[in-house]
Amino acid sequence: MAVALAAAVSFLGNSANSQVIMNAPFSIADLARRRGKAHRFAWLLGVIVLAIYIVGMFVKRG
Amino acid sequence: MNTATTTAPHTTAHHTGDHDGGHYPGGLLRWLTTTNHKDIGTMYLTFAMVMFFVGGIMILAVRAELFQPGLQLMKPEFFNQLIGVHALVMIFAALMPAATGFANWQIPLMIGAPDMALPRINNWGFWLLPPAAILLTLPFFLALFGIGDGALATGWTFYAPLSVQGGLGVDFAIFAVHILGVSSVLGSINIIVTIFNMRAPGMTMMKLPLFAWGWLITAFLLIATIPVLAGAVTMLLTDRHFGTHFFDAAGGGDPILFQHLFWFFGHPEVYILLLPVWGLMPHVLATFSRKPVYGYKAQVYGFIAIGVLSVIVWAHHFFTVGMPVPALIYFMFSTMAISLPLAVLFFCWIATMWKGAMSFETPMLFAVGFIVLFGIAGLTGLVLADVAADAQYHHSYFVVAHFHYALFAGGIMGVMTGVYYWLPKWTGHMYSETLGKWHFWLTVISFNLTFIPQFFNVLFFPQHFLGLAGMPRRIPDYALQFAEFNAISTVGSFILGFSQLLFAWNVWRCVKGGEKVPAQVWEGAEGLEWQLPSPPPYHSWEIQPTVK
Repeated sequence: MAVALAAAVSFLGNSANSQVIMNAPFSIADLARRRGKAHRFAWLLGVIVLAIYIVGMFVKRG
Repeated sequence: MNTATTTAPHTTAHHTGDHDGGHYPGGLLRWLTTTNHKDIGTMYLTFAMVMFFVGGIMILAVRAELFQPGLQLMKPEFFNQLIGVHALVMIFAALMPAATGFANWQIPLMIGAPDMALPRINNWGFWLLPPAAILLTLPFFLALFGIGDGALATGWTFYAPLSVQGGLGVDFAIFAVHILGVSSVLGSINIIVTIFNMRAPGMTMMKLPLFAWGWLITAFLLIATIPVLAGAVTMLLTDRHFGTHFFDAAGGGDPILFQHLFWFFGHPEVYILLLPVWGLMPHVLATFSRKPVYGYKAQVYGFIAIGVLSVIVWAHHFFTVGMPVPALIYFMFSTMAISLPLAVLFFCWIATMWKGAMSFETPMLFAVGFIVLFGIAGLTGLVLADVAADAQYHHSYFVVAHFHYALFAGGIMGVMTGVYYWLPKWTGHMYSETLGKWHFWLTVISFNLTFIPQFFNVLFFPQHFLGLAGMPRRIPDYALQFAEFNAISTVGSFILGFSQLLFAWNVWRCVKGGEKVPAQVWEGAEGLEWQLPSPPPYHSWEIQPTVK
């Protein structure tokens, strides 16, 4: 019972009890890498949006 | 939500990347060209506030017409136009931009990012909104000069074949919806890629603030459903002007198909409006209960479950159209299933407050008011999800009351919760608590007048009774038996409308000055954003926070 309760508490609980350390400025290279990844992901999402828009035109009710 | 302990003070001394350490154009040019997430957030929120009053004025005219039976103030065609444009303005130009304004301001602060991942797209996302709002409302003014017959009069749902036959206002609204959709998609893509790529080191997905989680699910819902709405209204446009017959039965088309396509977007849209609010509620409740959020993971999974369920339940909006029985049963039970994860959220919100050292500053008042009133929306939603009962309630004022409990009490009061909670952080000044409390109580009293031991709602609660008695929605005149409840409802709506002026005045005063606040505005608040000064520097995080 106690084990089940502990598991339930772990499931419900906030896993984000963390410390924040601020001691390093942003690195330009790291930011550029992250923005590059973000751009590629954004293009992928944009293509998905366009695909849904076009496919939607061909939907027929059975 | 993060429990963040700073081990080194924030400093703005470091200048990095493509951010130009505080150098930006002044005046109008700053706002036109800005790519700063806080500037863009401010513009979204200002735009939302203006359009909230525009949409509000429209519906006050409607309620004035409904004060008494008979036609007093306007023709039925104009009445229909006000109703349709009120809904489109409130949904697309007030609530959605307000939530996007929150996202712009808060997500980079909360996840430790220097800005949104795609700042120029962010600027575009905002500047598409004003032309769309002009397109929506322009037909009212064009009609004054004899051009067209006014705005769209189909209601916000554009149902065919009425919309196929409608006037110039339908075309304006179709273009407005396309532009608003592009703006929403750009904003959503930006939020998704920002959350996935710009989080502080150590901030895993299960350490992401719940507000960001709520917005992440919202953004995915927008990406999945906005293109379907755009496709539907494009087909409507070609039906109107290019000789196609997608929705015109006379040409072999299918008007019911439009309803399916519209509500495939329209039902998730409800959650698109509410998920950001559900995400911010745990932050507010935990802060003013001085306790950690209860059930962080349960709420995350609740958001995901609601997001998934929201796209498979759309047909409950038109049960009465004549669907096969298995389809009715499927949509009824899938709709009711949403109440399970939603009940989990309610449980977590209440459990967060349970035995907490609660205090009732204005944001907390709005949060508690939200829980109570939004609960009524949930319960009346269950009634409407029942196929047999829905046959009685469909297209009645019961539905109007239900979705205003969801979207005013759930959406707009949620937005007000967020504004009061974060405004001191954004401006560096404390708002007037006295005015805030007046605003809350006037809003809630005009929404709920205490009547013996029950809540009796002046504005929307009588609409439940009107609906039960059979008063249909979207009519400018009605039978004598509905007169009393309509009169009460109109009085309530005017009190509600005018009490929002207090809100605008309070926000304005706070922006212009007032008592200075520290970085940690609220004693019990936790999270990265409270490590930054109030107001945060122009470039939010220049020293990268690391979450251990």
